[in-house]
Amino acid sequence: MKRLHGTLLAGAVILTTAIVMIPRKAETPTAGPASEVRTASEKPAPPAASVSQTPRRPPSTTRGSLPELPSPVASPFLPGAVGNEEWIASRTAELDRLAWFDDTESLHKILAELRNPLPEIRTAALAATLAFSNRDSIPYLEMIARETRDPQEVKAITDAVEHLKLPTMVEELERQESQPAPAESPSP
Amino acid sequence: MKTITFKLLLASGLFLLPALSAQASVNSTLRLDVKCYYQFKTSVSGVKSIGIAKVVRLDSKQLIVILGKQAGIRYPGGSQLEVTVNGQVFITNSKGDRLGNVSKYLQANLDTQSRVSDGFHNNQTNQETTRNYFPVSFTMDLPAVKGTVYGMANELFKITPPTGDGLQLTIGHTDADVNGTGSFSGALAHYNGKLALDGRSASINK
Repeated sequence: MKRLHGTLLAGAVILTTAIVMIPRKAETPTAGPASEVRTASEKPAPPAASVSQTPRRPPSTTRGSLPELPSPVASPFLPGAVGNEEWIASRTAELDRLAWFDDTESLHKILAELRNPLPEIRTAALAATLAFSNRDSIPYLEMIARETRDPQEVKAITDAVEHLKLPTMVEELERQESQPAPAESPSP
Repeated sequence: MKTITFKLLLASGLFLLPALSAQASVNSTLRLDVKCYYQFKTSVSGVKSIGIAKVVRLDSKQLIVILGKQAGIRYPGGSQLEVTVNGQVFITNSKGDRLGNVSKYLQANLDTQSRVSDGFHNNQTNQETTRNYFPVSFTMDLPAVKGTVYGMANELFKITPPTGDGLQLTIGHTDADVNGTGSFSGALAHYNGKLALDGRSASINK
């Protein structure tokens, strides 16, 4: 009788342990991504400052043959400091200045800032990328769009890609010069 | 009688009230980024009239290229378009030195006289921080590209307080959504996009 009780007790302990352990084991491997998905989709929109700090997924591993971009230039000031605002203004002016050039180095410097932790710099970098007006930036923009979590930023980047895909007026003029004008008949 | 006197006083007061004596705008680089929708082709096929519209994009750098071709020269990399406060347009090098006056082909009109201002101007120190709204237009008159785009400028204008040496910085940033009509390669064209002006200058006022 005592032996039967002992066996039953041991069985109950094993069963309880199994009930407690199995769900934990099942949770463990998915804990990271699951919590990430929850924070991304369920949390109310955080304030801009905190969005700026965590807007990206880890850099994509599907870069293919794209040359590596330099690291974004970090602000030496703390967020919210007076010096930081001035630094942002001067960095924005510098990106705007670079956008007037046509060399790859200038383009890469601009594109690198699309990964800057400060949203103001990312916005300025996207404007400078558009102003640079070179389709070589499209693969980088597509890659950075995949890394970006903020849907508004993703939309701004994909809009920029669509814009850059359009033919330019200079290209169209060159095409017109090299090809005869299309046959036209009187307007309807 | 009392009412008339009051109204007269009020009217005089409005005239005497110190207007915001802001001097909006500063010589600036011009960023134009517009889409041009133009009539590429029209034709008649049987009972059908067929139209084909095309879209191309136009920006400041392309304008410099087109202006260079027009003049038979190639402007150096980093060249910019500069708009003065009176609307003249120059091509400058990357350091801001003027390379040529292209006002014959490009003209900006910043109607700052009719601006609506929000902010303050210190009449003694000249310090200013204002947000200004005024009509803006930009005209292109090149052989292949013609037209004028219009919009409302939204300008953030700042004059810093003078330093001990009397140095003051003037900073202006203007954005405008613009659209308008013209022609591209002789075909009817509509333009729609953005225009931005960025300017900064320093002065010593002792």
